[in-house]
Amino acid sequence: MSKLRIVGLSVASADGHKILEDVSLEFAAGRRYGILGPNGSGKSSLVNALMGHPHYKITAGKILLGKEDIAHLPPDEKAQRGLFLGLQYPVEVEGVSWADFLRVALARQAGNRADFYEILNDLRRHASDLGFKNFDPDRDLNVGFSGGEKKRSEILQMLALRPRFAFLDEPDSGLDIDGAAALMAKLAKLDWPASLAVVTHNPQTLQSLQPDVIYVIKNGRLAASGGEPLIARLQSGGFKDL
Amino acid sequence: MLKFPTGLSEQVVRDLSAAKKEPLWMLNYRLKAYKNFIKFALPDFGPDLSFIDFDKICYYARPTTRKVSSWKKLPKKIRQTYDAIGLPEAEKQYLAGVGAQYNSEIVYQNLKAEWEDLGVVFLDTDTALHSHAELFKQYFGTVIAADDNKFAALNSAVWSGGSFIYVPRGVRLDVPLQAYFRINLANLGQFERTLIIADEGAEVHYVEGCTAPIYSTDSLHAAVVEVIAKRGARVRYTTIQNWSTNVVNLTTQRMLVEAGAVGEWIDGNIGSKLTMKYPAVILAGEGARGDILSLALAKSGQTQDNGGKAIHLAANTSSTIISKSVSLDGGVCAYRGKIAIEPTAANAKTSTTCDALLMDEKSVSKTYPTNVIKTADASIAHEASVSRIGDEQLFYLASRGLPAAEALSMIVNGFVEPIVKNIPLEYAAELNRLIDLDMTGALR
Repeated sequence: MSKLRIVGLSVASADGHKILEDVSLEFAAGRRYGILGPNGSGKSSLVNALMGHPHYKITAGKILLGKEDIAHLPPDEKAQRGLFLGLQYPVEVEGVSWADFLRVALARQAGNRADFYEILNDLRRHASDLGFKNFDPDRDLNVGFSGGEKKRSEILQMLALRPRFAFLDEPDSGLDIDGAAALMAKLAKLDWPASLAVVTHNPQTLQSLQPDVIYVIKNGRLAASGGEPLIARLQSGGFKDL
Repeated sequence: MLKFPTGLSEQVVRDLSAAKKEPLWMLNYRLKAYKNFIKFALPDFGPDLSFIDFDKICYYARPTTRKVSSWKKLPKKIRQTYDAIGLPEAEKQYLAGVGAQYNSEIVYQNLKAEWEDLGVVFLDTDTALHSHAELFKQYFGTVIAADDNKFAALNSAVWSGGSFIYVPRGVRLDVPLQAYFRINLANLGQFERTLIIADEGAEVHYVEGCTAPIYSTDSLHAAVVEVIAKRGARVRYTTIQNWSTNVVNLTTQRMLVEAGAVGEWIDGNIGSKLTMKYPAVILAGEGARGDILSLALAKSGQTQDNGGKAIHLAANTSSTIISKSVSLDGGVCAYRGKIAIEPTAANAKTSTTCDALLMDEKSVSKTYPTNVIKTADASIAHEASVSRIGDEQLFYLASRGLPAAEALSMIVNGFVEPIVKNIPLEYAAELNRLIDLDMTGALR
């Protein structure tokens, strides 16, 4: 149960255009992952399809959580099984307060009896660590947030929901260097045994995270996988050599 | 149960007035209005109303029970009906006065003693005609005349029930006055007539909620609501209309707002087959302000044709109209607004915002704004938006663990929130629950 295995996954856009083909990856509890690839490689599509985004269709393959194939479950059921996707472009929802939304999301987690008031207090501390200066949980969900605030808001939600398998799509885009550093530092020391995967086109992003495994997606396929030496190789040679 | 035969004639009007033992002036008023009703054509705008068969409608029905002054004295069956919609509980919590309408006539009235001491009048309109004759005659029909439009004329001819409120000079009621309405007979038109007068510097919030059971044939509801906010007064009128989907609701409601006074309409339309209702504020005195908040929800087979009118007659007057509509499963929402700024209204300010939310491809939203501006220095703002529920939004909420129906109702409740936050808590909760139910159905 502590492993998420993607087996031979193929993904198409809603209109049938092929995006990913025969991709197999593995994510284990307590480990850090980098999902790298040039722009347009399909890495963002991968994590969105994984979560059940309606713009993507899984055309072949399995997503195994333990023995259960969750590939075609609706997003809420994937979330309830511990998956989390931090969006590259979080959407705005008017009239729904950030805190109310989070409270409902927490309430949907089986067996979660955590005190919401305490969670909010923790989040205020995390927000300050992340440089989220005007964090106000009573504001409407992402409405009027700056690009950087939206990304920080995603991380705060993750910290509250404590998912078993977190995927963050370009979490540092929209942040300045200091902001990105604070965010990666926060991700490097999560206090629960999550599997954490960061999607990025920039190998440097991953430096402070020190990922255990790197997956490189290129032209819709898994082009390489490996440990630290692979990052070094990407940093010097880029994606073109793979 | 005393029930008139269906159909309308001069004789029916005479019988109705006689059954109520009305003074001659009211009979004459009704007869004149009846002539207008016959003479006037159906409205030349908006949805088709030619399906209404005026001969099949019963224009007056009266429960055999006379008015009672306490809850316990109500007949058991009526009590059960109201228990089902939660009225007594609501009353226990914070209602100050309750008027409950059962088949066209008020059977239950209660007003807190201290307010009576202050001279506040809160009665059903029929009683007020007799008990407060002079006050009644002074204001009745002064904001909406018997020749205003076909349905106002119809109401003026056959009105029955409704609320009459008078708040004396300087008296401020900080707890809302509430009335519950309910239609219980098929084919029974309900023509209640409400008249609210807030004297100089007075403040009052009147809340009216409607629920109706389902019946087999169309039922017509044509109310008239007249409100007078005298100099420096403040009146807020909140309605949540949830008629069953065979009711046609054609209501004329208008507020006369004098100098320095504030008039507010909060108008929620959830039910009915067809509602046409455009709350109006006439800003008659310097510095008068009028606000209209309108909320509509149309499902399959429903048309909500709503909006607001602001007529600026005096200097430094201001008006705000905020309209939010949600159309789903083929429902139709239309916003019909009118802003008039007359030459006498120097330095007028008005702003209209109308937002429509479409839940699917087959639902419809329309907007018909009309601005007639006769001054050069008016400030006029108008914003309109139509949005479709985005699958990106739904996915976002779902990806955090919210089931689709819950995600949908959260988005819709969020959309209507700017209106809902202005209505009393228990109604807001009821409204949110209704939306939850509708969203569960919407996903089937």
